[in-house]
Amino acid sequence: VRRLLALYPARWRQRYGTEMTRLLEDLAPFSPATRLRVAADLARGAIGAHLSKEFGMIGEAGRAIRRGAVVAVLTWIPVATLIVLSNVVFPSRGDHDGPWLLGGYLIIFAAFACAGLTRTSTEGRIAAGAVAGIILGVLTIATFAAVDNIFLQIVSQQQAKITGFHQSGMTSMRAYIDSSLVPAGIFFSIEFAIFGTLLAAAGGDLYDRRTRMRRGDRPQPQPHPVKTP
Amino acid sequence: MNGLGRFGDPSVLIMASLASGPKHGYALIKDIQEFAGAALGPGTLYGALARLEQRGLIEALPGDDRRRPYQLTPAGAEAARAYLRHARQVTAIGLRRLEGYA
Repeated sequence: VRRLLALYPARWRQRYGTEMTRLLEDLAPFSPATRLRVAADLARGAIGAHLSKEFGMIGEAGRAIRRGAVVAVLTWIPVATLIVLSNVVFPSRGDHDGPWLLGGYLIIFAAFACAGLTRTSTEGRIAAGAVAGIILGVLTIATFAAVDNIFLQIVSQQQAKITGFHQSGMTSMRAYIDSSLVPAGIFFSIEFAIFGTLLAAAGGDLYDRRTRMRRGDRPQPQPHPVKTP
Repeated sequence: MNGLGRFGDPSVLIMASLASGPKHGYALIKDIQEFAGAALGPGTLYGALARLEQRGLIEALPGDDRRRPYQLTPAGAEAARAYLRHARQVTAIGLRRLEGYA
C-alpha cells in the first residue's frame, strides 16, 4: 500500500510523505478488504492532490489545460450550431456544404489562435492549443454522432453518404455512418491538435509583438558588466 | 464556514478532533473513529489536512519520530465554531419539524 504514495505529486510527498508513511505503518497490518479500501482512498487522494492548486497542476501546465478546455467548449457551441444547420435545418442532397465547412473552419482556426493570446511561454500556448484541438475534435465527432443518429432520415439523403454506403457493402445506413465516425473522430482530433498547436503559437507570437509595440518597442536595458579587480 | 471548503465533512471532523488538543495523523483517525464513528482513510485525512493548512485553519507543530502533530489556529477555531453553530441550528429546526411528523 505504501508504494501508492508514489502516485502523489513530488511536492506533496516532500511535505506529507514521511508522516503518511508513518501513518500507514501505524495502521498496519491491513486485512485484504481494508488494504483495498486504503488503496482506493490513497488513489483518490493522489488524484485530488494532482488537481490541487497548491501541490498539483499549478503553474503553466494546469493553466494551459484549463485554457485549452475553455476554448474548446466555447468553440464547440458555434461549431455544433453549424453542424445542425448544415445537416438538418438546411440539408443539401448534393455535396454543396463548402460555405458551411469554410465557416466552421474559420471559427475553429480563430479560436485556436485565441488560445495563444495570453502572456505565457510558447510551450504553454502550444499545450493550450493542442488540448483545445483534441477536446474540440472529440466534441465535434460526438456532435456528428448525435446528429447523424437522431436525424438519420435527413442525413441519409446526402449524396456523399449514399455513395459511401453503396461502396461499403453494408446493409444498414446507420451502421455505415456509425462505423465511419470512429476514424473520423481520430482524424478530427489529430488534425485539430496540429492546427491548434500551430495557430496558438502564431496567436502567441502576435500577442508578443503587440505587447512590445504597446510598450513602445523599448529594448530592455542591459545590465552593466561587473568589473572585477 | 466557507473556509471549510466543499469537502466539509472530513474537515469538520478533523477540526472537532483538534479542538481537544494537537494530534498527529494516527491519533486523529482513532479519535474521529471514537467520537464520530467515521473511519477516515489516510488519503482523505491528509487531503483535508492539506486544505485546512493551506487555508490557515490548522498549523503543523514540530514533530518527532516521523509524526507531525497539528493544532487549530484561532481562525480555524472560529471557522469550526461558526460551522458547528450553524449545523446545530439546522439540526434543531429539523428535529423540531420531525416531531410533528408521523
